Amino acid sequence: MSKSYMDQQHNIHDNPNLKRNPFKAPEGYLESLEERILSLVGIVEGEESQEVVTPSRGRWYVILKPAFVLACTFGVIFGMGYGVLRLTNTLNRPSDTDDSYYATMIEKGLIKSSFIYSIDEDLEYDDFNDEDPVFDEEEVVTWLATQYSSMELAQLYYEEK
Amino acid sequence: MEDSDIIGLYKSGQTERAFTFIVRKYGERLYWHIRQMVIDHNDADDILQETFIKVWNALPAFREESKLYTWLYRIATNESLTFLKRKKIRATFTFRDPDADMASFIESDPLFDGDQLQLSLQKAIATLPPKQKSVFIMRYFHEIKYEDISEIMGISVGALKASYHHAFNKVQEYLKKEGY
Repeated sequence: MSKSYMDQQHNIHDNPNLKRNPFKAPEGYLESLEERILSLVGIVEGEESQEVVTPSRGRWYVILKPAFVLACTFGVIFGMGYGVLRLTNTLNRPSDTDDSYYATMIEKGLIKSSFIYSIDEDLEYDDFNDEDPVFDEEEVVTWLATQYSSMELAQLYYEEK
Repeated sequence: MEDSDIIGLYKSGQTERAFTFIVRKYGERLYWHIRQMVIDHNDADDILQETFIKVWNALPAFREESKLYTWLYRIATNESLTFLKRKKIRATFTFRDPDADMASFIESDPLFDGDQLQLSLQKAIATLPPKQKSVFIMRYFHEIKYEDISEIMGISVGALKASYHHAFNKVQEYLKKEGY
């Protein structure tokens, strides 16, 4: 091609050769194109002429498919969330304001919050014994009087409060 | 087979038969349209498959508000433009020049069968912005009417003519710089 091609007021419209497609497709590609695309959507050539698909069914499928996919996604997310909560045992845990739960726990001795438990480990409740512990009030008062001064008792009491 | 006959087949419930005729009639044309947009055969093949999957899924929603062939071209063009956009974003993150990449790809492509002027023309086209490139390819190579390109691209005929004019001048300028 001459170097002065464009200078001679020619443009790309004047050369029909330029409009020719300069690309090639790989050997056999175009010949098998139809078959490959039809198989992509599940059509087997030669069988398509016998098969009649009801258009309304296709329409419903197109309309309902996104909703179905969305519902499945929510289901999966909900299932995963529920699974995580179950695994971490968060579901059955009471709220911080559930007084009756904590009252029961304190009563059973699983939470040591009483004044007496805080001052001596010897009085610890036996977790394996279902029976409520029995304390002699007089014995406890006597024991406390020998172990602590009035000031110390008052201090422990207010700290506990 | 005429497009109206294909639509008629589809309406009569022969969906698969109608689709087969669409692939038979437009498969190769759409392949070349996509191929000239993205250059690489493997990319063109992927986009063509995506295009026909979309056509298959969207056929029930085809309302004949546009011609069948402009509708098909619109899907193919949109798929190609999306691909080019993604490619440009990827190139930006890897500090590469997508135009230069495409130009060097054409030079080394064993499936390129043109002379030096055709090579320069393809390299010039590769420098055009994607939408301008698609307008240029449809008008210059496929000689599609502006009215139909307008339907395909969703752009007014006036804007298309201006776009083609800009593209044409850029290509001429590129070729001049190349010494033609």
